[in-house]
Amino acid sequence: MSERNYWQRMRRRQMSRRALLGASARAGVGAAGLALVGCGDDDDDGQQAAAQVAQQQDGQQQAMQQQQQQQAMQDQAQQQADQADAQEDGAQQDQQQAMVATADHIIRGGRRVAPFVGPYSGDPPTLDPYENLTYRAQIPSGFHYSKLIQAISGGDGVNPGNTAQYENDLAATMPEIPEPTVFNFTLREDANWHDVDPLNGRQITIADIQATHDRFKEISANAAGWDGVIAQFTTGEDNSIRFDLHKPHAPFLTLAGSSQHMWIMPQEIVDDGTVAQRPVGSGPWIFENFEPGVAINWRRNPDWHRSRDYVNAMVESGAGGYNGISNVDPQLFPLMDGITATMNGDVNVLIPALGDGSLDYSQLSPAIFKQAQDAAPDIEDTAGYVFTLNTVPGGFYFNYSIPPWNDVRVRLALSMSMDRDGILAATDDTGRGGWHSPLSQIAPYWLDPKDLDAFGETFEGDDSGLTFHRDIAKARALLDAAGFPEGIQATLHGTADYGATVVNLYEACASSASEAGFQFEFFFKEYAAYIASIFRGNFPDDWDGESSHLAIGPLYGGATDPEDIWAAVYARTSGRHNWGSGGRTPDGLASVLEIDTGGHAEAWSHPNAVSGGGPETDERLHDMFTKQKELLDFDERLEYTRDIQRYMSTKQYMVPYVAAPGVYAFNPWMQQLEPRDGTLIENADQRMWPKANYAWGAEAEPFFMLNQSIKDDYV
Amino acid sequence: MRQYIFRRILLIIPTMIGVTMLVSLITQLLPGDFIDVMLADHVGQGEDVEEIRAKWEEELGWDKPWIVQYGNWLWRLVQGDLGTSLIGAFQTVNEELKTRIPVTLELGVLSLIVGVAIALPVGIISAVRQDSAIDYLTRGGAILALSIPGFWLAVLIIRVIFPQLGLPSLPLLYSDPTENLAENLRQMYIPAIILGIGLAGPVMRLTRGEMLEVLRQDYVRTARAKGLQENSVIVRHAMRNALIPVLTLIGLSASILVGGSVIMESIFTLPGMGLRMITALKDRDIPVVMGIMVVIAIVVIVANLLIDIAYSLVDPRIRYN
Repeated sequence: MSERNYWQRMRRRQMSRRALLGASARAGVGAAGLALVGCGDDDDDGQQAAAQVAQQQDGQQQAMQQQQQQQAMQDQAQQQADQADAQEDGAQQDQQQAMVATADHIIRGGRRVAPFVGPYSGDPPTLDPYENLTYRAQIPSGFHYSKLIQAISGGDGVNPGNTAQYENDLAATMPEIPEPTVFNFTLREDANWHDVDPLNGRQITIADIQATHDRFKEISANAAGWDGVIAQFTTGEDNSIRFDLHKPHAPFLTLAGSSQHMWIMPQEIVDDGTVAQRPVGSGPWIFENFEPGVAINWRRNPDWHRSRDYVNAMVESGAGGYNGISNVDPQLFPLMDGITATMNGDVNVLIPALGDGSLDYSQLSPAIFKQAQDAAPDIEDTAGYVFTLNTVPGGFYFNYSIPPWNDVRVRLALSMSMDRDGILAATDDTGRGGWHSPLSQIAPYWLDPKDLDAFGETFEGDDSGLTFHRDIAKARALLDAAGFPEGIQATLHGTADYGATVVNLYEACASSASEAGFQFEFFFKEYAAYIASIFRGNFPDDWDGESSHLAIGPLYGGATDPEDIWAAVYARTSGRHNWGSGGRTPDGLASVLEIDTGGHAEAWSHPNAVSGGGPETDERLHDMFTKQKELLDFDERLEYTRDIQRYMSTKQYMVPYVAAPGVYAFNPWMQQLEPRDGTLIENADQRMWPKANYAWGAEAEPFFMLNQSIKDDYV
Repeated sequence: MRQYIFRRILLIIPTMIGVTMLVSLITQLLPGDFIDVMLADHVGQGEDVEEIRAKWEEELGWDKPWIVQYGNWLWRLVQGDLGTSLIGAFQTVNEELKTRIPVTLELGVLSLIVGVAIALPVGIISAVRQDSAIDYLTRGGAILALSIPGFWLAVLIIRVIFPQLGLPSLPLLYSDPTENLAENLRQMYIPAIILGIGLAGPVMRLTRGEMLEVLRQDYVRTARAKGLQENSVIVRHAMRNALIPVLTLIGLSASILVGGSVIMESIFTLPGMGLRMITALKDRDIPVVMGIMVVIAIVVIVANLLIDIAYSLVDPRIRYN
């Protein structure tokens, strides 16, 4: 490629064409844009629009010829004398051309081919998002289902990764909140189910919402958390949907818009119990088929309700050359004809396929980023990489009541033994990774522990930010004080099924900690077995018949709010065995406690257990978790969640490892529109991936264009 | 002969019961099950996971003793029902296998053709030119073919050879041969060659060994003494007898090919039984695992039967009573 920057090259191509269209731009026609976006129907209006476009095109051609002649004469006569004027004219022309161009760039069509999720893909174990809460079931749901509200995605003005911004989806508007415990939504009237049997495009009714809610409550594991917040859910024949909360709950909108909660389903499918067999939704994509291990296919929904919202916003905003254009096709979005998500997760296949264009897009492991750059140099040339924050908290986790992990000094020593930057250098090719705090990198709540100025070295007299920074001498001193002057040898449980990158991360963590005296031997289980035991906090026996009560791995996926992580990972009410809930012991025995649990009778029990080691007995933490949910002022809550992180870092209940970013590579023909003004999103950092999370099928994919002519140039 | 075949077919029944019982038992011993996969992420939601598990187990009939579960499965199998997949869209295993078997068979047949096409001529030439440079070369090649793992060769081809030669990567999406044969073969030829090479190594070595032995037999010397042309001696007299054990090996390779297809189908996203086996095992989709094992067992048993029958065709001295 002769030019360095792909976008510059594209602009240059468009500019030469635009030079011919300059006069038509002055005439305010924007005809090329209209021709593309004004794909009128077969009715009279459509024909009228087409006739208008034809007339405009005729006028445009005449104007072009005149303009060319005038420009040629002017160039000859006033080449030098009018240099200043020419520059001014050029600027105006560029502005007008840009208007046309932004309308012109919208291209509909093409079927995108992409891996389902990156290097460690997995088949959805079910197509019913209520039956399984993993990304494997949730991500596909985001393509064909809708929710009441959804995360705002987009470019300018939308903070990448900010999970606190929502807009209406099936709700007509964002909710009215007459009092802090009441949220009133209204179901929109222009939303229909997909035009497939047995719904055949029927309008979504309030009965569907009620049926969905009832099913969600009955089946989803998330219903328990839902019940903890929502006292009453009522629907009315006037399409009203009312949520009555037990008490003010700051992250309620996050809950309502979460991709792990209420995907709206049709009553017929709910009633006949075939949700998993034939998912019919109202989202941007219509489910076609799923072949395990091979692919999932979707086709475009030509009647997606959100399309009309976005087109209206485009026209009203006036940005992107849509000002005054009245006949933009209201069903412009989604822009692609369909999506094929291949299940091949082998990087040895994906990287060459990305390089030669067989794949339009691929998620990449940060550890193979450089390999991918080498294999697909065109992508490097186009700023086609999107880097996302890592929202999956992970690290070392323990049974807190079991020595030595009940001793905070041991946990602090483990944290301070880790060379987090060194681990990142070994496992992250992108150089964009960061450190986890007790929270994952969910924006804007996450506090970077590397930044001691922001985090604070200490909190209320105890080391906080400092506990994340490597200090081998201090780590050894802490171990010594805890009674382990020779260090600690232990088996480190985990699974290798998160992929080679994650295993490398584990090994780097273990290697890093060894300098302070921690000697770990890995004990990996196959994924299903790992989930069945270790992940739940049931630490199995090691090789020698004793358990180390120590594991490493990710603990929660798809968080969009701190509460997601607090509730699932650390809270006393969490279902985890090792955090002290429910009285379920590893071997299923009842919780017969003969130890002082600080008044929490349901705390986890083990013959060697001692009190006070874990978060289940940490009253301060419990109170903080409770309080942050009730802080309705966003800024106040934000600051308080940061204090929680500071406090938790003094305890290191989970010793976090590092956070390599998500990496998404887009081939040059994949372009993305800002859904509110129709402009191309050229800055990768503004793309919507970070926040769309599990729901990117609905929140990001409809705005992707596959520019076939560019693809043909490359492939 | 008919009686023999009938007896062998009857033997399929106890063999199948033994195989399926063993597989069923092994799946019971696997740590974790489909319910664990489904309940992943339920942890931390404040739910009573054990209660949900109990409900699932009741629905799936897993609350009954293993032998009862196996008996139920066997009874359905007798009726031609292999059950329903536990994951995805809950397709019946029969439906899944209907689309998966042809892909694996196609890959197997193509691999067999490649393997035999390489192994037989090379093995014969190696034997005929014993201790020559070509013999050493082909024997070295056979050892290489035996020792190189298929997955490594696949990666080498995809990541090194193809880019070096400027060849486009293989299609990611499978094309049905009835719809687009050229595209289908474009996707199949590399895995078929890799599997074929793996098969060619041992077959070539056995062919060579058998040929060497046969070539030293008196009747071969007699054939030469009669003045028959060397080609005729090798093809009509030596090769026919040398091929009997080779046929056995090729027959036994049917199961190896199915096993090898697990890896090749995964790497090249070929929607055959091997790929499905991987996904089914990962998610503990036991009905699918059992269904595929039934098919593999049948393939191996039938292949062995066919080989036995082929013996009598290749060597008229062999008669079954």
